[in-house]
Amino acid sequence: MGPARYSYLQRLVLALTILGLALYVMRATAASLGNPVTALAHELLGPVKGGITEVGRFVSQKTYFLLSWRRLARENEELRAEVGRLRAEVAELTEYRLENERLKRLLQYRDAGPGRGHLVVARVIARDPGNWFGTVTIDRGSADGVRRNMTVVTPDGLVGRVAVVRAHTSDVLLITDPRSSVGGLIQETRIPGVVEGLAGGFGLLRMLYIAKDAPVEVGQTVITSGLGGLFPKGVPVGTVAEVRPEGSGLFQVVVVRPFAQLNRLEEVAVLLGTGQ
Amino acid sequence: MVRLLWVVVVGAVLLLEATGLNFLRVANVKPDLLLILTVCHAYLRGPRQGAALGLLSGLAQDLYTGYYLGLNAVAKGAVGLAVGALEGKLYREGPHLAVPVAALATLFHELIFFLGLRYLGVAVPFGFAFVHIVVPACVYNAALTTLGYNPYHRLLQQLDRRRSVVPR
Repeated sequence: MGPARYSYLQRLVLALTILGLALYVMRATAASLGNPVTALAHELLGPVKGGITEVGRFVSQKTYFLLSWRRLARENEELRAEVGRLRAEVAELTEYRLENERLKRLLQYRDAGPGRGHLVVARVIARDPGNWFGTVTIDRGSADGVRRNMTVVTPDGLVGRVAVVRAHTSDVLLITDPRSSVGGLIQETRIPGVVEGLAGGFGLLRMLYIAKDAPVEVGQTVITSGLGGLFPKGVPVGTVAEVRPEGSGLFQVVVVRPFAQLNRLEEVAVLLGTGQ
Repeated sequence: MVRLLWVVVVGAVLLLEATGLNFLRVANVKPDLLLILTVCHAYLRGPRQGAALGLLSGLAQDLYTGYYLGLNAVAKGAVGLAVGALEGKLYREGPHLAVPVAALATLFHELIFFLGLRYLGVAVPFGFAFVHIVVPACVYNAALTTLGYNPYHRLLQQLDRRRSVVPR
């Protein structure tokens, strides 16, 4: 065995050792979703991240406006029409809500809408730097009453759940993250399924384990089922955007468009008292 | 001193990726500036420095996100090593060849990342990932390499000149 060959073998062994070690560490740190170094970095950089995010948001808004004024004008018209329709709907829903509250009081129900009366509003200060995962960092932590697995929402719908809690910041696992799994329900037909994320930056979800003959149509609403205990029941998730057969032929895959604008989150609400 | 400078640069770029760049998404992806930096550096400086910067960038990203420690480090380190192997073999006085190299490097990086996710049990459908993440990321990173390659090349040349003038 010549010296050149020996050197090549040495390098190969070294590379394989490093790779093996890296694979081991990767798996060992998979479930941790947080370590002391990360926690310290996030705590120290929290205010800086907030500042840079604001600058980015400002630049983005100005650029977006300049590049899409024609589309904005058309959208403005459409939105005006929709605002009128939604106002009527809000008035109707307010009636239902008031009636519901009166009935609840009559039946001496506690306001059990899990934690909905108690929430913490948080600002999104950073996101996962890559394209595969979907996590955001918010400026609220254990000091504000935030705990792991609490549900995070916007007025539009479900955002995700708290994955890591630090003293003054927390990481939220978005429903678009491939590691996210939410018990879902088609509101109109009460068909249950599991809503999973595809990739962090991608704006669609998929609802799995729905029998192929189940009546699912585009435009139907998906809400949380409450099964599994992490998310309260009835939180709006999104609308059905596409229905297609699954490879095995036993199920169909339902593509869901989330209500919440997950790529443009600014403020979110953490529902205290959920995720127990 | 130079090593410390690289740590600061990687930290600043990472911070930018996690904050301001979120508003520059095109086709649901944002550019991977650390990868572009690694590719340009490896293309100009060879496998040793390319792999080192790739490992540093990836490790910083892993520590920042706090999970799957080593996933980005392995992916970016491998890219630095592979692109660095091309040093001196391709034309480097302009971005003409660095741009397709950046696109192929992104493809390589994303495939390693995808395999890593498979190994870790994170299920992302391959066809979906290829169409919606890998291809747009290749195009986006290549486009930004077009803009960033020449300034970076000049910066490295200036650093070289300064180092040759200033006594150590």
